[in-house]
Amino acid sequence: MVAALLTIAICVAAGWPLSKLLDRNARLPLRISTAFLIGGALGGVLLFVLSSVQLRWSRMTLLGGMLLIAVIALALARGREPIGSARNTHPLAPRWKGFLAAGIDLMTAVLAAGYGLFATVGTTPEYDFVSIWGVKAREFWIAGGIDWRFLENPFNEFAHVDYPILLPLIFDVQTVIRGSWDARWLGALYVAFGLAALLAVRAFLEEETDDSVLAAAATLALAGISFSPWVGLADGPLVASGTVGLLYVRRGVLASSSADILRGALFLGIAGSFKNEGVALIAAAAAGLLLTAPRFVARLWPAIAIVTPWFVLKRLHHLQTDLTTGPILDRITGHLANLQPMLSALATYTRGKPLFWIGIGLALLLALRAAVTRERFLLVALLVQTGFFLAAYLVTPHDVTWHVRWSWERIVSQITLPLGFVAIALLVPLIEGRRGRLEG
Amino acid sequence: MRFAAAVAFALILIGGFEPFYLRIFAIDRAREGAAFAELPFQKIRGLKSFLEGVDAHTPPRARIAIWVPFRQWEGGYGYAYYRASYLLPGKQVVPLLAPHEDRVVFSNLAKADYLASLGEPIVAPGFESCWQDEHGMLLKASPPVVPPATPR
Repeated sequence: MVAALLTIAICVAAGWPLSKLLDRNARLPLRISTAFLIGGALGGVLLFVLSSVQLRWSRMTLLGGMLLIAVIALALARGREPIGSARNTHPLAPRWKGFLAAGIDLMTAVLAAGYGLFATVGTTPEYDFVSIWGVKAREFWIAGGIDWRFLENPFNEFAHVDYPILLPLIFDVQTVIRGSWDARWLGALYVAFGLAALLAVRAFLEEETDDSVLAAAATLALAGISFSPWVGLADGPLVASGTVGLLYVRRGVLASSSADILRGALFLGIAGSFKNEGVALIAAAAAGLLLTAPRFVARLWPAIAIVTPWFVLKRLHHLQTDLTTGPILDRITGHLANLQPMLSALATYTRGKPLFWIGIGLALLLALRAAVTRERFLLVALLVQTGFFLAAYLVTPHDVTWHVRWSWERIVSQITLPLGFVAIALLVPLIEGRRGRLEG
Repeated sequence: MRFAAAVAFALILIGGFEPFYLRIFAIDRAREGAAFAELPFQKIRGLKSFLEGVDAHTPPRARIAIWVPFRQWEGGYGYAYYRASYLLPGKQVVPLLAPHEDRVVFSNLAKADYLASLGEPIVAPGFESCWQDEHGMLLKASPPVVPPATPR
C-alpha cells in the first residue's frame, strides 16, 4: 500500500510543474488531476526511453529522470503566475450553502473511499488484466525493460501485443518503485485515475455555475461513472485522460482559445497511448472540431505526435491488430448483409443505468437548441466515437455476439462521463433560471 | 422548465449512483479479496496452483509447453493457455494446440524445454519427469545425446 500511495504522490509531484507550464490558470482540482495524468505518463515515457537506450529499469534511474524533468519544468514554470481571475471565481455565497456543498462533497468522498476499497480489495479478477495488460507489465518488469521478444512471438498474439503500452508501463512505474510485482495494489492507480477524472470534471463544472451546491451535487452525480469498475484494464485511465482532453478542447471551442485546444490535444494523446479507442477519440475530436471550429483542427497535432511513435514501432516489430487482419472488406460486407446478430447483441447486452440514460436524454431534449449550438463539438465527437465502436463490430474477426457481449458496456463507459458532463452543463442554466448562457 | 431540468438532474444523480461503493464498507473484504484472486482461474481446478508450482521449478526464460485435458481451443485449452503466461512470468508458454483450431501440434514440443501437463499423466519422447503435484506433472527435455568423439 505504501508503494502504491508513494507512486501516486510521486506522479502528482513530478507532473505538477509540467501541469503549471501547460495551464497556469488551472484551479486546484484541475491542477491535481492534470499533474497526476502528466506525471503518470511521464513515468511511463521514461521507462520507455530507458528501455530504448538499453538501460535496465531501476528505482534510481526512474526517479532520477522524473526528478530531473520536474526540476527543469519547475525552473521554466517559475514566474508563470495565474493571469487574471475571470475563471473559477465564485461570488460570496451564503454560509449555509458552503456547509451544504461541503456535506455533498463529503458524500462524494465516501463514495471515492468505497471505490478505493473495491479497487484494492484483492488482485483484480479481470481476465483482460491477466491476459493483456497485467501480463505485459509483468513480462516487462521481469525483463527490466520492454520485452520486444515477448511482443513479437506469435505464441503471444493473444495478449493483443499491438495495443499501446502506456498502461503496462505505468503499472511498471509502481512496480519499479515498489521493487516487486504486487497486482493487488495496482488497483490504487485506478482510484487516482478516477479521482483525476472527477476533479477535472468538478473544475470544469465550476466554470459553468457560480453555485457551489450545484457544482458539488453535479460532482456527486458524476462520481459513480468516473470510477471504472474494470480495475486492471485501460478503460479507467482512458476515461480520465480522454475526458480531460475533450473538456479542454470544448473550452477552447467555446472561448476560441487555441491554447486550450493544444492542452486538450496533449491529454487526447495520452488517451491514445492507453488504448486504440483513445486513438479513435482523437479522430472523433477532429471530426467535432471540423463541424464547429475547423480552424482549430490542426491544433490537435500534439495528440498525433504523441501516438505516432507507437504506430511506427508496431510496424517495425510487425505487431498485428486482430481487427485489421485477414479479409476486412469481406467481414464488413458480411456483417452489413446480416446486421441482426449485432443489433440483437447490442439490445441484449445493453445493461447499466436506465435512469441515468433517461436523465441524459431528457437534458438533451430540454436544452436542444443549446445542445446543437453550444455543445455541438462534444456531442459530435461522442457520436463519431460511438460510430467507431460500432464499426469495430463490423470488422471484427470474432463472433460478433461474443464481441458485443464482452465489450459494449465497457467501451460505452468511455464516453459516459463527458456525456454526463454535457447533460449537466446544459441543465445548469435551466436550473439556475438563466437562458443567456445557454445560447452561448 | 426549471422543474423538468431539476428532474433530469435528479435522474442523472440517482441513476449514476453506484450503491456497491457504499455496501463494500459492510462486506467481508478479506473473503472478497481471496475470491477475486481465484476468479480468473477457477474454471480449471488446480490450474493456478499447478502453474505456480511449475514457475517455481523452472528457470528464467524457460520455454514451457502446456498440456491440459482439453482438445478444443474454445473448449478449455485456450482458457488455460491464455492464463499460463501470466502465471509463468519471464517464461515463454508454448501451445500444443494450433491457436483457435482443434488440432494437436506436437511438433511445437521441439520449441520447448519443459512440458507441463495438468490433469493427466503424460509420456513424451525426449522428456523426463522432474516434478509433480496433485494436479499435474512437469517434464524436462532430456539433453541431446552427444555422440562420443571418435578419433580420426
